[in-house]
Amino acid sequence: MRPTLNILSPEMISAILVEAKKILAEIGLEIRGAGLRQRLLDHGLKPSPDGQRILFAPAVVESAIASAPKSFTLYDRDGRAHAELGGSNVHYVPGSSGLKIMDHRSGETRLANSTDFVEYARLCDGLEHIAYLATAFSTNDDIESRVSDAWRLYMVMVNSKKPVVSGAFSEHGVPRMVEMMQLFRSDRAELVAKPMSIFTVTATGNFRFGEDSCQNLIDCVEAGIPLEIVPVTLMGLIAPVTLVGALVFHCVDTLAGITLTQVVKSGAPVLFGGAPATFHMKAASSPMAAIEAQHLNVGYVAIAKSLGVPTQAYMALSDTKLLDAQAGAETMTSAMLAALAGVNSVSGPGMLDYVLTFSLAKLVFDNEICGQCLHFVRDIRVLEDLPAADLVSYLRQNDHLITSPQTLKYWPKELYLTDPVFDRENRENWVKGGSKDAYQRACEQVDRRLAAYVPIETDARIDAELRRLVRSGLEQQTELPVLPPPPAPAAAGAAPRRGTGRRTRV
Amino acid sequence: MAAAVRQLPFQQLVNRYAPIEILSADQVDAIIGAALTILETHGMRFLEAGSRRLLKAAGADCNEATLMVRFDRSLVLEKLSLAPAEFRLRARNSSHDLHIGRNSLVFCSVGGPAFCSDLDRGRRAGTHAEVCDFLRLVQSLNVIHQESGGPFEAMDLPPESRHLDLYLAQLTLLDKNCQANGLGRMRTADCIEMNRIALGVAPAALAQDALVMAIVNSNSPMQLDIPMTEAVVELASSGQACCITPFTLAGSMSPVTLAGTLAQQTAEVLAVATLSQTVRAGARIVYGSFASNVDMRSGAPALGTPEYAKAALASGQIARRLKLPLRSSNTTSSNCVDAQSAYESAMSLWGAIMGHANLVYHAAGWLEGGLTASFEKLITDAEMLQMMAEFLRPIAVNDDELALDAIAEVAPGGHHFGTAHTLAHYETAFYEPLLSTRQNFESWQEAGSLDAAQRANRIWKQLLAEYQQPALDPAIGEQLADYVAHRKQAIAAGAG
Repeated sequence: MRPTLNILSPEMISAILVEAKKILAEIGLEIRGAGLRQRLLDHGLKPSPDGQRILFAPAVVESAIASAPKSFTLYDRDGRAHAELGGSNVHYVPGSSGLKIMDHRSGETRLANSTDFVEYARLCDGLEHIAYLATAFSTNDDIESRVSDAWRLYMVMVNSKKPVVSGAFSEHGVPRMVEMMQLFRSDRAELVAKPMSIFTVTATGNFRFGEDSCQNLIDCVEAGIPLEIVPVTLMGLIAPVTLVGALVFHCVDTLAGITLTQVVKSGAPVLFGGAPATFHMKAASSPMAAIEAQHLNVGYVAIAKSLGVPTQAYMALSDTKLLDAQAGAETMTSAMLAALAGVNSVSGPGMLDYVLTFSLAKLVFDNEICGQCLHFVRDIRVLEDLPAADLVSYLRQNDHLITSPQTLKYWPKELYLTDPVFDRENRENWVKGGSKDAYQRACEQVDRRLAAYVPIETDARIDAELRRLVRSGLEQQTELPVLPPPPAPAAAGAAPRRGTGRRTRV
Repeated sequence: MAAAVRQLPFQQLVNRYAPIEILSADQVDAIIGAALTILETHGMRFLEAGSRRLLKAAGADCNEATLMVRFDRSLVLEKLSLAPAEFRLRARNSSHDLHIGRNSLVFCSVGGPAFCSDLDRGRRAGTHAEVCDFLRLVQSLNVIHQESGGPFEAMDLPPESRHLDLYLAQLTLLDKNCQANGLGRMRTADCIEMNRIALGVAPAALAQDALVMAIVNSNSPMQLDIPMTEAVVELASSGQACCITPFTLAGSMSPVTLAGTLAQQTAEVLAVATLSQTVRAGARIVYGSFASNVDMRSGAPALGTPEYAKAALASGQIARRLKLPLRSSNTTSSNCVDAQSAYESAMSLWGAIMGHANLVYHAAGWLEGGLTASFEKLITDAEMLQMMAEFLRPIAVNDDELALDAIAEVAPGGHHFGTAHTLAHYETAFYEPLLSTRQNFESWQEAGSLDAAQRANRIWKQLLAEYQQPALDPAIGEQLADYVAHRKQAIAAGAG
């Protein structure tokens, strides 16, 4: 049995869905993209009396839910199956939309650049509990904004083979990115059959899908790229402050998004997602780690599961400004809730400060939290410990169970050994080790992991073509930013080479 | 003024005793067969792309997705047959040239630790000046035949160019053969070129004799990383010697059983040997054994253990069957120069020597599982090495040695102190220790009650004070200094 959380009764779920479908049918959504709007009309959907919105008839919505896949597979750069999104499978993924980086070397929080991004990609490549990457933060002014989405995708693809959650920054950004990904497949059909990315389509609230989102949605669905529909449901600002009402508003946006994908192409893979936050009435901020936002997250996930649609949520993150106690508390709380609720793709690790600031140290720390949460939600099974008479007998004979056959057989998998970022030393050894706090330990692990990064090879012709594709979108800029070379590889099991030049010989 | 430090003269050792064989011939065959099966079925991961291309061209099966290379056993055995069973390693002083293979035995000082230590200042990050002091002691201790490629890291020098300072120190402070730091192509190539200059060898004649050897550690289990691969290729292509040593610690980096560990160790050696022979047929290689175990309570490496000694003896049998020279080590897990450091080292040395190792790496100075090079341990080990050297001198059995006249001369209950036979032989009859004390308790107390480590501390300081730098042609010295300056400029300019 898997530890599970479900906060809504079937009756409550049904009532929320009835209300959401009613709003979709009677009030409808503003679909600002002309192309997508026309496709909806061609599909038989009706405009509202004032012509401003599209009315989503319940039958169309229900048909879309039925045609959306219950699960789908993400593949890595080499075309190997990497992650199955569906059921109760939980995957943690770095958060997205950051602008700044908290520099783990200087402690300064500043605008991020391409060097930061490459380090992030190399670090993330080796994180055991981060299933795939995201184009997590902007590189700001070091490349023209019209190709910054493709540039980030490039940096991910040449530094890691893991799949990636990404998105386009402009109405016409997707085709270039599709061309880039297709270079790692034999043709477009193989890219459709073996997708290596999930793209985000954001619903901005007020029952509206903007021009960029509409065009990106069409382009992605036609290229076979799975989508995550991510409404930004702000409780108390543009959505009800109360949970049930907020869930209704959230479902209107996601059900509309799912319907849009299925109208473009029936069977298109899509995630029922979200990035909810509360509106803080005193600070005028929008904390995504607020406990009410977590309530909303696990609520809509329960609804999505009742519909059989795979899920995404912005969880396992914190709104504080540094890796402190609040960061630990907020991240662990939401990461564990996500694990218990069975969120298929959890976006958030590495993020601070209302998803504005990314921290490599926080990412390493979160990787450990994710590992612990994944350990917690494993199926609970009888492992030669029921009945327990043999174990009792062994204990009585030996006064301990350390060397019992059952301990020796099961401890490697049943006892979770934490990464050094979590302190498990006694006080004396902790003092001897420099009395380091979690942030210091995390910074050390960032350096260690970066030094241990093993570069991946990219065929020189593919690399050149990728760079050409990015460069083709530049208007004023003539050269792409210079990227840091990979570190010299370190010996497995030996001290990192970078920094000290030490490598013990045997 | 202290009396001169007593030492045996520099001598190439020969082990004339029969090796201890703890495996039957069938068991040796089974282990080698298992190694070949590992290479055929699973293969070894080669991280460096060029090596995979070379091996693929030679007939190996390379998977570019997993970086795994699988070897048909006929390919491995064909390549293995090209490797020489013995070779010469030249030194700047030709009387210090070394023979590697057959019954020859070479002791090499400790190489590669992160720290250094002595009784005065404890364990610490080392400096270049301290590295030079250690090198002077290696030169001074006659029982040490070879320097290891750097006793510890000089942390006051930049990592990208400190190997050049090390090589310059090796070639000026010693006239013995010195190993390279085989961490990548350039570090290896720099050592080869500087030795070529120092020994006055023409570039075209470089491959005729080995001037340089380097240790190449595979990343067990079953992986060879990029810097180590570069060293293998550089050494083979220039005709220099490569000691292929998997880092197999049973229970963590290899199976918990010794047979499985030996099979994996052999598989890794054979995979790298195949690469080496593919680069250059007849490349000089050594079968390196470092099989030990971990402490299953803590996961820490356990060294100088009974398992280590058994693995050393068995590795000797495997290496002889493969017709390759054998390397072993003198190891201990102890953190200081204490009884544990001595008895674990003694255990290691017995395994190495009676397994017929041709090269004992880390033979003097190793402490703390290889994390520290100790000035005092250098001396205590030198004592044990001298004792081993003396142990290897066979018992002569002839009329003079049987001494029947002396036996007849001494009445029952008398003594042999004054016999002509004793007077003729006493000066050379017995080994004279470097470090051990034979004082009675009172004399020892009067001399300060010094234990072995404290006495070793005095000895290395005395050796350092009495050190005499070997002569070097000033023109060659200048060439070496120019080479180092030129290479440092290139490194600073990003040329690697």
